[in-house]
Amino acid sequence: MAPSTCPKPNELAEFLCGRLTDDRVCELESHLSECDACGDTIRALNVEDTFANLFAEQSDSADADQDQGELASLVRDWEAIIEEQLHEPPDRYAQPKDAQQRAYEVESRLAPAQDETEIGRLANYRILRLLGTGGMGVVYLAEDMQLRRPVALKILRPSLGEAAQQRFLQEARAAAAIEHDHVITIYHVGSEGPLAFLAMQYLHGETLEKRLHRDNQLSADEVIAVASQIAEGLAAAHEKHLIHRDIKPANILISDDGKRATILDFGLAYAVDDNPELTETGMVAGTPAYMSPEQARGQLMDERTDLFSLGTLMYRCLTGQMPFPGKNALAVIRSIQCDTPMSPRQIDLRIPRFLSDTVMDLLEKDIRLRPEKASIIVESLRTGRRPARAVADNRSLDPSAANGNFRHRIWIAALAFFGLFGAAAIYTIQTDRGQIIVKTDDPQIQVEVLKAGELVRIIDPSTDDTVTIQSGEYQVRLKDSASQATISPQKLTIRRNDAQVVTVEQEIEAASADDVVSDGIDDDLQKNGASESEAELNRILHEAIALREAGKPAEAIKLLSHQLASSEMGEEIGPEVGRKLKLEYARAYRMLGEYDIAELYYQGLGNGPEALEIARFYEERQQFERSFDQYNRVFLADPTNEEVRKARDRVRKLAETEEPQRIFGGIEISLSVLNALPNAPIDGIYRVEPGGTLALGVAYGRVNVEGLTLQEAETAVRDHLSEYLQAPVVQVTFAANRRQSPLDAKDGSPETETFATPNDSSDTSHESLYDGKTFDEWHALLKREKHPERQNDCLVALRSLTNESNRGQATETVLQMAKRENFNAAISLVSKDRPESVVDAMMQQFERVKANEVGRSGLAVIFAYWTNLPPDLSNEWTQLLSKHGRYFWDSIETIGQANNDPDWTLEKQLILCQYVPPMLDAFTLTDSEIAKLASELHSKDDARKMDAAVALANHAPKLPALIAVLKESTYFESQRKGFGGKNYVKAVIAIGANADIQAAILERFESLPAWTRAHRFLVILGEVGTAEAIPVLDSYLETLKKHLPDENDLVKLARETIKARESHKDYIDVPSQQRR
Amino acid sequence: MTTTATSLLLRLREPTDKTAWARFVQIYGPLIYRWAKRTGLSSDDSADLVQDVLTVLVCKLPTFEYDRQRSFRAWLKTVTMNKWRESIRKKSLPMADSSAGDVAVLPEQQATDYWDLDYKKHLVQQAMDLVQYDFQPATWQALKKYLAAEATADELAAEFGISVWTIYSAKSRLIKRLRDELADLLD
Repeated sequence: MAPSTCPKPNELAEFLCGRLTDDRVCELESHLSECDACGDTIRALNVEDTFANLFAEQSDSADADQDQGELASLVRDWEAIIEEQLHEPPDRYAQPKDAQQRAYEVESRLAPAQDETEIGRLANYRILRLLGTGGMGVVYLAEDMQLRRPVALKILRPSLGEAAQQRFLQEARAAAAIEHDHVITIYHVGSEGPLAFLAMQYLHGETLEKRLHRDNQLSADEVIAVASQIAEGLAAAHEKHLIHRDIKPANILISDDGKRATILDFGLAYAVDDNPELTETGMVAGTPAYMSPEQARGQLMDERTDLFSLGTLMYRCLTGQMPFPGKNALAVIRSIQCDTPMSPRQIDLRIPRFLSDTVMDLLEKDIRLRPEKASIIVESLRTGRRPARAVADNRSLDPSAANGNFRHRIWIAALAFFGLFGAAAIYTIQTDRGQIIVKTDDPQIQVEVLKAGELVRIIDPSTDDTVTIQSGEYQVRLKDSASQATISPQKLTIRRNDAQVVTVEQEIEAASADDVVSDGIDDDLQKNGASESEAELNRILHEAIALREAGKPAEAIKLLSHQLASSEMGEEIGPEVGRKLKLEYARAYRMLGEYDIAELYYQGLGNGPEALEIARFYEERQQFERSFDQYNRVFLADPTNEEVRKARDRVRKLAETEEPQRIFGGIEISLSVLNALPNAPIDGIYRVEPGGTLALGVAYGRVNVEGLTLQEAETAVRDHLSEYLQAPVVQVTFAANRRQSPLDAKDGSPETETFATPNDSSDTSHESLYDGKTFDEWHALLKREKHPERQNDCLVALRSLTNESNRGQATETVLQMAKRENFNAAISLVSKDRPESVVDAMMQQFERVKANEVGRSGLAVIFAYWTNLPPDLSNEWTQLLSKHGRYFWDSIETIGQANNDPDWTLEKQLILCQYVPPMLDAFTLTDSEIAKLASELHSKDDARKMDAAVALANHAPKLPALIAVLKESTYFESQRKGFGGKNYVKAVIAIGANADIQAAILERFESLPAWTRAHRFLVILGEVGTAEAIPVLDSYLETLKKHLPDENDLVKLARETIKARESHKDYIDVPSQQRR
Repeated sequence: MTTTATSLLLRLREPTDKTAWARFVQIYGPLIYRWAKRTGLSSDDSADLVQDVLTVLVCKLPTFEYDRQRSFRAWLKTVTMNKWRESIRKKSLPMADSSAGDVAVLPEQQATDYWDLDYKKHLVQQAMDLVQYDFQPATWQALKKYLAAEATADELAAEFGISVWTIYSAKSRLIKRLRDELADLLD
């Protein structure tokens, strides 16, 4: 039944490309099988389509698989690596091991057991069973042999030392005076030999911590019952002036019937508080989560500290979440000091209002505003009425400590470092450190701090009058020994969490009085010079102002910077002229559109008459938070100024709404954003940005799984958020692109065409990778962008779009990024072309801002150095950097401390170690500092940390801490190669023969699945191996002979080198570095 | 059929499903590896790259809400390209061993193009494996050779003792099938 007519050639082509319907295909098939004419047509057709190409090249890729064997073994390696990652125990450093050690520490010192039912004996107690371990000691069920009653026997870890033991006994004796149903009864306090112990009432039950672990949340009634009992117990203790200091769920015992709560461990936290071993991780017992703000700051505490902790505990029980969450201890402490949590009722509407209010009253950050007594809480929980508010007394009035101001305070502390304010409030919790504070009227003074005669630090009060420093004995002296000023005291002892004030007094009258006989002609000259240069400066300044006002800001800047750079004047500028100069720089740069630089100068002006100008500048720059501060300052100075008040309120609103609009990655993070911004209007517009973090959040998941349209997704996520937050959420908007900046959307209007993932067919083009933006557009975006990751995106785009015509701009961008501390970004630009202009510009920058920006610019300079300078500059810079290296290093430390952000410090220091190995000498790190860094490097999955470890090991090869890190390194485990691997090899070689490392290598070696991975080990073994390696190498040779007979060169080389070295080692010292 | 079998991805969310991961590695490891080598990375760097990408996937996949394969595909591409850029950047660092930076690496655009092509080929390969049992073995052998342009349809018809029309029809059917399966991915 052949069809009468032949199909047209184009239909045949369609047929071959599989584009016809099934029916038509059947028809054609039966026609074609009979029709020779069509056969000819088909042979003549040259059909091309996508698939044809894909098939055609299919065989090519098969060709590329000549290394099929290698690939197969690689696949096995990858599988092994994945398996390793899947099975990595999540808590390999967790308690059990520690707990065992602690128990052993105690048990090894007990008197021997008399029978099988007991572990040992202590005084007149038979130790029967381990109940638990903590940071401080170990608790056993024991039997009092005289009274034949069971007791809980707490034994202090002897390694905490004698002082801790004394305090433990003292506190325990004091606590024994408390007699109350809800405080555990202490029967006996004593010590025998190295062991101090206390015997307590043995109660059946579980700690509140365990209970929460199981149920996560308690009902409001239960919380009321438990909290009342705790408060009663506290009231009884407080009457005897005893503070618990560590109220937390782990210290509350709930009886088996759930009805009775008992407080454990009264005052004991304090007893061991001072012990460095305990506090090396920063915190007593490892969790600051229940600390009060004053406790976190190391300030004086009283009974109300316990009440704050009680509030935290109640919050946790009621809501199932912590009021002050944080990923690590420091984040928690920051949160305790800065954040106001949502009220429990905001989280769960079922919680009675009075209860929620009571908790919030307890969580009052200002100790003076907190309920005064535990008995007030007992009463309030009994009657169901919120406690009467405490009235602050004036004795120690500290306005900045008022609730809600902490955010600003910390911010101020950070700014103070850069010379904004005279006084810095820096909160440190680093417990092995104290502070030196310099008080002086003269900002020109510099104070040198010496330890054992060695200069350890220079304090420059014009940038920061407070340094945080290791505890110990120090001397201080003025840097300028000819100075007329006196300093006192000259010797000081810094203790942990202690602050020592050093006062520098200028002998003003003597110095300025005309009748003082000058002791040398130099002094006269200097004085005349100073006044002359001041007049000169004023002249320059006026000229610059005139230029700017004539619309020539660039020339004004040129004039100023030329004049300043070409003379020593910079150092002699008085504060008054200095302000004028800064202001002029700021205005000129602002006029030029160089807002970032202008900002630096405005920052340097601090709080002065220009506040209004600065406020407007920040507002213009959309830095609403900062703008608010400045407006607020003006407003406080003149509260009648309606216009300023309006402006202030306007920017506050903007500041509050800006942040919560960005909720990265979905709901979990949105909560933390809300927590961080307690005043944000809950009914504001929340912008969920799924692309930024590859959309792994709940929001993204719902969209994907349920295949909703964008709009439906927005609604769904909105509902989800509302439900989750227990609060109305008005609108959720998805941004369209990966890591899209809110700045991208004009006037905050959402882009809605596509959802996060890039379009399939068009995403291949070069432009679309960079969203089709031009260099200028990216550049403009970068300037406004604050989020570091998106800054990086911008920079990656810029980098690939850089060409001759815009190189200058790119260069300037590097500088700005360095100033904005986005060093990675700066690197990524510099390393592309390393134009000399960057170097020049950096040099200028460095000179220009030496006085107060040296820390940050120094980093920029270091990075420039790292990017292959021309040799002549390189020399000059090497000297410069060697001179300042230590100061840069310390600056990083200081900045991190000022911001309460040691992670920042660590990250920057690691970057330096990793990328600037030649600089390590200039940092003059001590072994103990390196060891301390090394202790931060134990992270299996962070390549950067390992790179840093390797760089350090090359620098300081013999340090055991580093050897340990290298031995356990990721490179080792995962057999990483390339970039990191080569350095690893170098580092191991630098360490030299080390039995541990060799053993580890050999063990690994024997389990190697493929020859491809062995090279690195072979090189190491060749360099540092010993005779023990030879049999392993021999058996490896055997294996190779079977599978890869041509691949034995390296093995043989390694083997021969080891043998040669072994046989000559008695009389030849072969320098290992020269052999390869 | 789907490109990343949905069930496979879902199983990967079970963090310890070893066999699923092994299969995943077998599928995507070689794909990424070959591509990386094509862009000019050394064998070592390519292997490292795969390892890096897989590491990201292991961490993130359990929380990755799976929908259409395109999401995964775009994601995989993003992760891979990011790691690739990282790798290039590291190579460009004037670190201890400068010879590492000498290898000529493709420009990013070309690398991206290659990725898309390789991925598509990979999809086609996967799809072919699935559909081959719809064909008689001899037809399949002939078809493969025909598609790889190793011989003309007439020669192959003679060699395998089938009609030339069988080959044409088989090709038409295969392509139609692939087009149906992979429509939104390839066109």
